[in-house]
Amino acid sequence: MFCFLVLSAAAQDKVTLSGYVKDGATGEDLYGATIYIAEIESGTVANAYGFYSITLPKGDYSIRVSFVGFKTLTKRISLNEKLQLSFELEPEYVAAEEVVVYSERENANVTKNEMSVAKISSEAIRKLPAVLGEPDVIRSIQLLPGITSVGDGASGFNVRGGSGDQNLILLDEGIIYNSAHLLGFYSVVNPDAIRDVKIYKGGIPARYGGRLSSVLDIKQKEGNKKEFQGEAGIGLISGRILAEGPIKQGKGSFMVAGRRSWGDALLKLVDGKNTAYFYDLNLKTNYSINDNNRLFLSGYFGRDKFDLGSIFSNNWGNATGTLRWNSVLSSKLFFNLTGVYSNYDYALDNLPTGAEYRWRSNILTYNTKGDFTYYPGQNSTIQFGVDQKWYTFKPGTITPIEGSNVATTQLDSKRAQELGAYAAYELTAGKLSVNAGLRYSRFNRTGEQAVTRYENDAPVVYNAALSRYERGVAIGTDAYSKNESIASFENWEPRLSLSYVINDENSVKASYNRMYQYIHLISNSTAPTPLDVWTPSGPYIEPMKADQYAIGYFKNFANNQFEASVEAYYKDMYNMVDYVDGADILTNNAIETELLSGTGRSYGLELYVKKNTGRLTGWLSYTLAKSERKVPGLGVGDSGINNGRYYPTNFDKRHDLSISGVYKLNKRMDLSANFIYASGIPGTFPEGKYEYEGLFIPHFEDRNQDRLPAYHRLDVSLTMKRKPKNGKERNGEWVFGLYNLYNRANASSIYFIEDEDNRGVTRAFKSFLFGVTPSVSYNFKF
Amino acid sequence: MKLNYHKISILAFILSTLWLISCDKEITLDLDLPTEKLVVEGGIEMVNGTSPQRQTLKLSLLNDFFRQEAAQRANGATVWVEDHQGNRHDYHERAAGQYECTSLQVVEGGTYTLNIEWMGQQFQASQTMIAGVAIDSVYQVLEEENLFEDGGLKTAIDFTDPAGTANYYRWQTYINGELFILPDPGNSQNLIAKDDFFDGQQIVGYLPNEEALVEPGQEVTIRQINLTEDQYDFYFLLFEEAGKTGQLIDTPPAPIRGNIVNLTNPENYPLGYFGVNQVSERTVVVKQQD
Repeated sequence: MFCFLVLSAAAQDKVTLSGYVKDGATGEDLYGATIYIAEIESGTVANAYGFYSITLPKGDYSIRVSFVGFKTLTKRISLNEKLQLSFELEPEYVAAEEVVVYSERENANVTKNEMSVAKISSEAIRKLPAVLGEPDVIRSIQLLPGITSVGDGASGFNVRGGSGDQNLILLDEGIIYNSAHLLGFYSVVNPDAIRDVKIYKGGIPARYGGRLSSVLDIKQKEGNKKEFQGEAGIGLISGRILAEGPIKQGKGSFMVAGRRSWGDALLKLVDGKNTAYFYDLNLKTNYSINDNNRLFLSGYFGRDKFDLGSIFSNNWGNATGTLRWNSVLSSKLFFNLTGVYSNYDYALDNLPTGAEYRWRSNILTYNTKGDFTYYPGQNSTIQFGVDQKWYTFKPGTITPIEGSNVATTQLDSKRAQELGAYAAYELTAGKLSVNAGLRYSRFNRTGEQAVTRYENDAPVVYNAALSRYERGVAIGTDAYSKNESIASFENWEPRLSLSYVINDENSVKASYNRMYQYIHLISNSTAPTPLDVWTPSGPYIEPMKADQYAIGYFKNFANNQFEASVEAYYKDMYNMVDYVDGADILTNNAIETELLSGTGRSYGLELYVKKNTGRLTGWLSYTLAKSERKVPGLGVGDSGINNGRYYPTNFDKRHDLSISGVYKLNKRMDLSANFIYASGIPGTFPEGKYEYEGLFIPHFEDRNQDRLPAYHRLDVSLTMKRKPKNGKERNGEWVFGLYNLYNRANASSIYFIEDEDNRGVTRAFKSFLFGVTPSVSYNFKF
Repeated sequence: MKLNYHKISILAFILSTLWLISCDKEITLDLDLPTEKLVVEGGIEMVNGTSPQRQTLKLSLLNDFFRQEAAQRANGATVWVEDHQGNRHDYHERAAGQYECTSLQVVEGGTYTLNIEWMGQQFQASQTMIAGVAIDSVYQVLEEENLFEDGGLKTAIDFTDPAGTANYYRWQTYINGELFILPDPGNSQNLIAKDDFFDGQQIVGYLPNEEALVEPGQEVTIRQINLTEDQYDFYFLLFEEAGKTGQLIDTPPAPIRGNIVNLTNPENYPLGYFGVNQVSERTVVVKQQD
C-alpha cells in the first residue's frame, strides 16, 4: 500500500496506454496476452480479464501484441496523451491445431515471473486419448508434473504431496467441492464449455487463499461476440452440445452448454428399475454497458443421479453462480467485483419397506470479493483486494418419508465466515522480477450451535492399558447463539516469487508461499467419495498450514521449439488431521473424537520438456517425489500413528512419468498417445490372520508400510476429419481411441479376504478398473 | 428391515456403481511371517436370564495369512476367572486350546476378570454383565430377491428396544446347531446394530442374518447378544476387516484392539475380546411356506 502511494505520485510527464486484447474471430477477451514495446524492450501482460495498462513517456512506439495460437499484431502509435486502445488478434488456425499445452508467448515460460504453473487448453484436453473417449479435465492435468491421483476411478487429484481436499477448484470463481461425476471416473467440468485450465502448484499468488496445495482455475468460454455458432459431440459415455453467439450486435455474448451421460440407457436394458446418470449445464453471458464497464453472469449446474429400484435413490451435485462487474476506473486502475453462490448437496432416499427415510446434506457458500489492479508505471503492477465467504455446512438431516416411523435426526449444522485481504506488488527491474504479496486471513466459526465439552478438553483420549485411542468423555455442551463466535483464527500468509532472466532462452526462478486452510475433508476411505464430510476448523480442529519453497530453471531451445524446466520443491504442512485406527467417520456428530493431528512433509523434483511446434507436439513430465505424514499423538505417553514415525501418505508415489504426444499424420488425421508409468501407491498388508467366531480376520499393524505394484499403461487415439464432398469442406470429426492398449491390470487396491465359496481359505486379490477399452465419438459444428 | 439405514445404502450404492466396471484377480505376495501372538475367543454368557452349565474359551495363535492349515492352538495355559465375589474359578483344557469352566455362577451387574498364564506371560481382562434385551418372537419369512441378497425363506425376529438407554446388539444364527456366518461386506450393518435411530421402539421383522437361507425341517436358533459400546466397536471393525471389497470405500486396514491386556509384555497384545454378555436365545423349526 505504501508503494502504491509513492509510485502514483511520480510519473508526471508520462501517459497511460490501456485497453483490452481480444480474439478477432470471436471477440472474446484474451487474458494473458503479451504487449511488448520495442523501444523500451519491455512490456506488460493482459490481466485475467484481458485488460492491460502501461504508462510510458510521451513518444512514438512500436507495439507488438502476441498470444500463442494467434498472429502477432504490430502497430505503430504516437502516444501524446492518455490513450485507450484495444487489440484484436487473428487466430492462426494451423498453429492452433498443433498446439497442445501452450504458454502465452513463445518464450513466456522463461521470461514470465511465474513458476509451478501449468496450463492446458480445452483443445488439448479433447485431443488426448481418454477412457471411453470422454475427454476429461482432471485426468488431463494428471499428465503434468507434480499432479497425481490415487488411482483409476479415484476422484480428485493430489498436488505435490497434498491431499485431495487441498485443491481450490474454481469454475469462473465459483468453488467446486466435489470434482467428480460417477464417483471419480469423470470430472464435473464439460471440456467443451471451457477455454482453459490453469493450475498453480506453487508460488501461489496472494489473491488466492483457503487451500494448501493448489489452485485449479477453470475459465468458461465467454461466447462468440461475432456470430452464432454451435458444436456437438456424441460418445460412448455422453452427448454434449454447445451454442454461443452475440447479444445486441456484439455488445455482449452468451455461451450455453450441456452434457448428459447415457450409461443409464444400458443399465435399463439389464434391469428396468435401475438408473444411473449424470448431467451438467454451463452458462455464461456478458454484456458491455460501455467501454469501461462490463457485466458477466456465469453458472454451472451438475448432478449425478443413481436409482436402484426399490432399494434406494440418491443424487448429488454442485451448483454455482457468479455475477461479476469489471470496471476500468481509470486508465491505471482496474476493478473487479464478484459475487458467487455455491451449493454442493447430497441427498439419499432409502426405501426399504417400513423404514423409508431421506438423508440430506449440503455446503452452502456465499462469496463476495473486490479486486483492484493498479498500474503505476511501465514496470510494476499492484494488486489488492478483499474476499469474504459465508459458509453453512449441513452434514446431515434424516427425515422419514412415505410415512415411515424413522426418527428425524439432525447432525449439527456448522457456520463460519472467512475473510481474506491481500496486496501484491510486482516489479520488473532489468532482468530481475519480484512479486511480493501478503494475505491476511481470518476464519470465524459461529453459532448457532451447541458445542460438546470434553473431560480435560480432550475429545480423544489414550487408553494406556490397551494402548489405543478412545473417544473422550463428553461432559456437557456450550450453547452458542446465532453469529456468536465459537472459535476464530487469524493468520498472515506471505507470498514471494522471484525470477531472473539470464537471456531470452534461460531463466531461474524461486518462490515461497505460506497457505492456511480452514476447511477439512475428513475421510477414512482411500480416496474422497461424495459422502465425505467437509468440516470447518473450530474448537477442536486447528487450521492446516503449509510452507512451500520452490526453485526452478527454465530453458527454451531450438528457437523456442522446445521448452524445458526443472523444479524442486519442499513443503512443510502442519495440523494435518488423520483418523485413529478404526475410526467411524460417517454420520458421526463428534468427528473430533476420531482424529489426531500431525505434520506432513513432501519434497520432489519435477522435470518437464515440451515440444511446441511441428508435426509432432507433446510433452514429457517426470516427477521424483516423496510425501509423508507424522502423527506423534497426544503427548501422554502414547505413540500416535505408526509409533510417531513418518509414514507415506495414501498418494505417495516415488516416480511418476507421463509422455503425451500428438502426431499430425496428414491434413485430416492426428494420432495421439499417452504413456504413464508410476510407482505403486502404499498399501497395508497383513501380518497374519486369525480365526474368530466363524470368520477369518487378517491382522494388520502399521499403516502404509507396503506397496502396490507399479502402474503403467499406454493409450492411443486417432482423430479423423471428414473428407470434403464436391470440393466443399465438411465439418465433423471422428475420434477412435484405445485406452490401456496392452491391457495391463493396474491394481487400484489389494485386499485380503476369506474365500466365500471355499470356506477357511484366505486369499489376496487385486482390484482393478479398465482393461483395454475401445471408444469412438463423433464431434461436429453447426 | 434394516436398522443402520444409510450405511448399508451407501455401501450398496458404491459397490453397485463400481461392480459395473471393476474386476478382481487373485494374486500372491510375500508377506511377513507372523509374530507369536495369542488369540482369545470366547467369554462369559448368561442365557435367557440363567447361568449356563459351562463357559468356554478357545486359545490359538496368529497364523500365516497364506497358510491354509488351521492355526496352532495354545495349549497348556492356566486360565481362571475371578467372579463378582472374588472367588477363583478354574478352566480345564478339554482339547488342545479348548478350555472350559463348569463352576461359575453369573449374575447381572457382576464383574468378572479373566486371567490367562501362557508361556510365561500373563493376560487379563475385566467386564461387567450388563442388562439384556429379550427377543419377543422368532418366525420364518419369505423374502424377495434384490440386487444384494438372494430371495427365499429367512428367519426374522421382533424385539423391543428399551427407551432412554444406548443399546448395542449382535445376532448369531445357528442352523441345525451350526453357526451360520459368511465373510460378507454387509455384516457390519446386519449382524450388529446400535439403537441411535430406533431408541425405545419395537422392531418388527428384523432379519438377524440376511444371508442365511433356511429350509423346511431345519431348526434355527437366533441368539441376540447385548454388547457394550466398546464391544460393538470391536465387532464393527472385525466385520469390516473380514468383508473387504477392494473398492476405495473400504475402511483402511488397521489392527483391531480388544480389551485384553498382556501384563508381562504390553507391546505384544493379544487379539480378541473378552465379552461378558446376556444372550436371548429363541429357536424355531422351519415349516413348509404356504
